[in-house]
Amino acid sequence: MAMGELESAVMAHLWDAEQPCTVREVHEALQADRPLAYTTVMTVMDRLAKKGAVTQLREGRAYRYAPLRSREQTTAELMLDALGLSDGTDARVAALQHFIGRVSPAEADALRAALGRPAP
Amino acid sequence: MTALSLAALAVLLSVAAPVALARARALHRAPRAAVVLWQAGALAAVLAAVAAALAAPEEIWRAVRGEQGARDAWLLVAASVAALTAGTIVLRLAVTTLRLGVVLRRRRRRQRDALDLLGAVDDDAARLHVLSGTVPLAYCVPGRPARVVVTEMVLQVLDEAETRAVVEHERAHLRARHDLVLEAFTALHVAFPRVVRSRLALDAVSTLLEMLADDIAAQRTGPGPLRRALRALEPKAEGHEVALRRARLEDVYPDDGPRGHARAVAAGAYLTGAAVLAVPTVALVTPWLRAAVSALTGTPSE
Repeated sequence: MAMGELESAVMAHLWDAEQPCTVREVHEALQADRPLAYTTVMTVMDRLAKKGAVTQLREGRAYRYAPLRSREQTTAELMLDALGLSDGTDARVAALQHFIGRVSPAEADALRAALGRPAP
Repeated sequence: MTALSLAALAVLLSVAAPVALARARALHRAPRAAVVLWQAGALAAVLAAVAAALAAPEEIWRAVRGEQGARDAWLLVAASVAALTAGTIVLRLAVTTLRLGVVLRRRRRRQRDALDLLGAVDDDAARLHVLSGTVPLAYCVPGRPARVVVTEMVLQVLDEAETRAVVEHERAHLRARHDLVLEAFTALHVAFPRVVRSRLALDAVSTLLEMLADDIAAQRTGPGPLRRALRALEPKAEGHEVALRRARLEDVYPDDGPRGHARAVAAGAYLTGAAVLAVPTVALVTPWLRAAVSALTGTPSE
């Protein structure tokens, strides 16, 4: 299984979980679908922490992991960036290519609200 | 004199030509040739600016030494201004191109990383990412591996054939590396001083690239599904470009009757593009080169 797919599987579990998870909990959940070494899951979660996708919370001798941004926030951020509406002039100048390039102001505000940002 | 003519040509190509080209609706019939014409014009403008900046010092030097007489004093000033301006724009262009390349690639990597975290890749080899949310949006992220992204809203509004047409449109962008064309015109746009900057070229090329991708998608899936997809997703208030593309699809691929005169338009655009590049080179640069060579070798120029 590719690293990217494992990362998204771990993130999906953390996003769906009600509270921060230990590596063991994530490992047990993922192992239901496929054989997987505990150390592999630990490596993946360590990488996610280094990338800034998850945060480590110390609990006794173990670490618990929680996503830094919710799934909705990550999606909203992607879309604002794709539409050239995110902060910074660079994003506005260097647009990505769209099939449909514009959203209504109300939709853009809704995306910003998902990120907890005020409308400009 | 060469420096001034070259500077005038650069101004003509970068200020007047875009106005004319942007108005030429006939070019929408042959978007590929039209993009080539825009590129030829932009390249010729940059070459003229570079040549003006290079030719000016030598001419100024000759004027200073009095070889051309005192009446050329105003020419001296004009040539200096032209050389400075052209040189500034060329330098800015170099810096902008490098900076933009870094910013764009960083931004795409961020997009790819976030898409990887979200997963939700469609099962087939298309690597189609599906984002949740209520905004209808379809776009592509170039790079390795390239990604096509659609939102759930798009899948809800469109049927299977229409969705395929949209994905084919995005894949056409990715295969033909339209992002590189757009990147070059963005760099050119940003390199111009703010006062004389106009979005004409960038916007026109961007629209033409969308039309080109529309054509490729229409050839693969038929124009029907694409037309319906555009109509379904057309923004109500400010959908000028999308409305234009949909109207064009109906025009270029009529349900009955033959296609329009797209071939003639394409041939005209290619010929004009070649002329735009060749004529200034021959007419202006050759005499200057000859003079420069003869000055170097010590033989009198004609």
